[in-house]
Amino acid sequence: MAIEKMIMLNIVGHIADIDKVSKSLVLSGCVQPVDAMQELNTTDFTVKTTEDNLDALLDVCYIRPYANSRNLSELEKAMEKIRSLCPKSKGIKIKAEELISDFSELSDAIMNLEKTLGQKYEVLQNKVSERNNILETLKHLQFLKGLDISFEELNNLKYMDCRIMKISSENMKKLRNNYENIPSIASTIYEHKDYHIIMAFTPYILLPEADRIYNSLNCEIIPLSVKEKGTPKEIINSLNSKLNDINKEIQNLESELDKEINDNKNQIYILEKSLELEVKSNFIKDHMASTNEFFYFSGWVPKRLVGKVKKSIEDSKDKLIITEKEAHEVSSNIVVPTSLRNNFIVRPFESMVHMYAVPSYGELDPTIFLGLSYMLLFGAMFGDVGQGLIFTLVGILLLKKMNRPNLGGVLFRLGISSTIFGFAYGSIFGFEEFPHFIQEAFGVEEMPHFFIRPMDNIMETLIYGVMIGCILLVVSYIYSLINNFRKRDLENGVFGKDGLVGFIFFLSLLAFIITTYLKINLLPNGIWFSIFGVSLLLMLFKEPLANLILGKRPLYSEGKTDYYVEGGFGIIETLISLFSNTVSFIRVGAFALNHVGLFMAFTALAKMMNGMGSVFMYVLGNIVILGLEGLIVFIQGLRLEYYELFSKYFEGEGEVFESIKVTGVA
Amino acid sequence: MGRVVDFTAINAKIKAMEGFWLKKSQYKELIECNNFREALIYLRDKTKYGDTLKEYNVEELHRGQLEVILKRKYISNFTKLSHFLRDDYRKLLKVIFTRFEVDDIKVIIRGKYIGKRTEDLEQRISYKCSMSTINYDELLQADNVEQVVDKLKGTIYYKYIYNLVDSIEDDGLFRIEMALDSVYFILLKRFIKKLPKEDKEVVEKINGIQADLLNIQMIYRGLKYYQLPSEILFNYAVQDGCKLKKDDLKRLCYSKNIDDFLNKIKTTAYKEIFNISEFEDYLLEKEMMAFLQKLYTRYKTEAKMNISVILAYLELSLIEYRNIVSIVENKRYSQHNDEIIKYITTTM
Repeated sequence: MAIEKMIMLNIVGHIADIDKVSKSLVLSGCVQPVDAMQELNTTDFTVKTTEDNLDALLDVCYIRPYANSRNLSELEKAMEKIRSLCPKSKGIKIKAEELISDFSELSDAIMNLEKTLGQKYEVLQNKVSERNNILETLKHLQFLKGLDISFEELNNLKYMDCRIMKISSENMKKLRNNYENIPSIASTIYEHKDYHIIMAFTPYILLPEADRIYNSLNCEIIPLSVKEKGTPKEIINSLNSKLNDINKEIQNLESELDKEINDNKNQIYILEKSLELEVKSNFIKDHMASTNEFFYFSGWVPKRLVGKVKKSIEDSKDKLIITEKEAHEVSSNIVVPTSLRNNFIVRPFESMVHMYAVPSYGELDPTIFLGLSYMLLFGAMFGDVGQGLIFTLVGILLLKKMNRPNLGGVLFRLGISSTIFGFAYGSIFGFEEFPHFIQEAFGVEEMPHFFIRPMDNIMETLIYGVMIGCILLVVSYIYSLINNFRKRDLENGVFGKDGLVGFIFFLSLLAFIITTYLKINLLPNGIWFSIFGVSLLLMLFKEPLANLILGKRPLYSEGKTDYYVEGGFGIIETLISLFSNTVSFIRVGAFALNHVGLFMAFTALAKMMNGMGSVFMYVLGNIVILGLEGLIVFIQGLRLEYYELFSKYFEGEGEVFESIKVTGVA
Repeated sequence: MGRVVDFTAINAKIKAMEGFWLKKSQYKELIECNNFREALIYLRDKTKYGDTLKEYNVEELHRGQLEVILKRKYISNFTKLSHFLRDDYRKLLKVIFTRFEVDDIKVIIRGKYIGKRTEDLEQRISYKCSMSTINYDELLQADNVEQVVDKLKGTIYYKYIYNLVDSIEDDGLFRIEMALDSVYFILLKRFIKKLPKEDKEVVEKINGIQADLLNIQMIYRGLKYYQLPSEILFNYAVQDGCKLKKDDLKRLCYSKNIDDFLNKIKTTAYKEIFNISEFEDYLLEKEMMAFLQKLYTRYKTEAKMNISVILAYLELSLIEYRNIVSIVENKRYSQHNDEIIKYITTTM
């Protein structure tokens, strides 16, 4: 539960084993490498001075970052090409032993595969481009379909040059405007929005001049270099039959390529994963330090997984020196990553903690508190048996079908909480008293409840909301105390507004209000007020007091006046925020009322209609409540968690633990 | 109401950005600088361009680099403004942006044509920004013009130039560059149909007058220096003029010689460009700019709730940059101060 204990694993080994070890570490899947140079520089990288370790110790003077000589970019490019040719492979599972760990073998395999597939693909591409050429010519020939003259005749005119050109509409306008000055006969044979196709006859003698003009109009000569003879129509026919042949060839080639890919499906997947392993192990190597003979690795491993990591490098264990360090033994320059581990009930809520921030390694994991309190708040605000069950179902759907474990998990749990509160409030799909047709059909008049009906007890509902808030605030004060104690932060932990003094102030204020309200004379008023006054003064003097106790000088880190001006406002802010934090929880009750109220509005509408109309209104009301109110309550709950509670005790300055691993390998 | 929503924010922003321009007194002081370095230091220390120039060592800056720096500054303002616009107006800026992108493409194509080194070319790239539609890294990696064109595949430019690669052998880059230049006008003409009437008129007018002036410049130079056939002049002219109608344009193109051309110009709205007493060829461009500046300044002072303020600001900024570059360039060649004034559009 909570934040996992981390172990810094240091491994020293012979450089010959670097490949094997780094790959084993990747396959174990639970190591986050740390820059070994940094670790070496900031701490004593403890290697026992025994005779066995002497070699490593001698070499230690020449430590440098490990320089990786393998360039994988070419392989990655080749793999990328293979991948682009293949459809995405699904559902293939391979074993770690199947992966190719020998680099040259892997690179040969990838290169060969790329070559064979690439060649086949290229042949196919050539055919396709041949087909495109024919299609292009056919398209051009369409312009001349109506002509009854053969091409040889047109191409071999005695005095005239004949050409077909494509010209943009803008330029066509210019041509038209200046037609009287053009030394050729030009007529449009095809018109498109963007361009015209024109056929131009020019006497050979005037050709250079005409050329210049057509060039300046950016005319594109359409090549009609057809080998076939005959009129356009005949040529079109013969090209069409040629096209058929090519299409068949392309089909054959395609199925051949597909077969090749299908046959090699497993192999391709293995290569892909092997390359991924290579890349990731390179990443690990990049974090290593090395000397001529040895490599030095350091990385974080969750404590419960240390055994697994050690087991993965068991083969070369005799040749490795492995040392372990607890997180607190490591220099504070290196941030300890945080990995949250929670039980089944609150696990999906980890994502909501991450949405705010990652807890730092020393902090308490807020997930369990957040999860439980959020379920409580949501249920209290949105208590309904029917609608809760719908949320539960949607949650299951997201979880199982759409592969959204976090969202689905959260929704599932909220739905259950909402259902429970639905029984407490006695509400199903908004109904507390059933309408007539249900009463007649089932013989029940109203939904039973075992707690209160919010609408009938408005004041109580609101007060319960604030009470829940007070309890949650007390818990968050306790969290804050623990966190500050762990940080050994005297100033904020004891004298701060979220520390011990703040806590006492909050509790005594609560006690004072309750006793006054209930008219119990627990303590005389003078004592109450002196408790308030003293705790406020302690908060005001927190920095000098803490420094006095710790014997630190100077007492004020900034100017004295600045400190007191700021501190004075700080006290006012504390008072206001304490009040608003508490009152804020009134919304828990308010939304419980709102939930009923919204449905009452739809009930009123439904009563105005009859038959299907009223049923429709009930359904519509439920949909609106599920969608709109569900969202609002979700957000308001989150707000209470993040703003009212997290601000009290949660700092969240940690970094996520991200282990290096290859997915999809058993 | 809609127009106010569309334009108040950007017009206010532009008012603020206009404050970055040089004032008349600053122009004067810049011209009075003793030499090239001093002028750069003046720009750095005494004007709003300081923030931009601070990143560079002005002691080592070449004039060409200054030009690129100013262009980059311009395009960063350009993209900044586009965030203030929505929908069609933002698209309009995108279309206008092609004008600059084409400039960069031409730089790359020309660089590859004459075999410039990639690193040198990279320094000349001026308009790379978030609006870019071309992949600069890929284009710069090309070995020759053909590869550049090939790598433009998938951009709007490809279909205008893909068939012109073969023409390089005979005509050099002339046809490719001409085709690229036309892209902006074609796209703009197609696009403005979507704009509201009021904005459409503004864009048509500004673009039309620009086109007219470019046509005049081309015909003038084509006649005087290259003796180009009239048909070709006509074919390369931009057709969407504002004050030069189709027939006027044709008449100008079919001038027999330069005197004939100058006579014909006198009957058009653009006579003042050639009218000044000491007209010289090399001042043609400046006179065109001065003509445009008047138009833009009018739009600026009218400050209507339409696209005119934005366009005027963009164009006036460009003119300002040209002026600054002109002055600094003149300093570089140690021109006399009175001479310098001739080259800039601002009157002293």
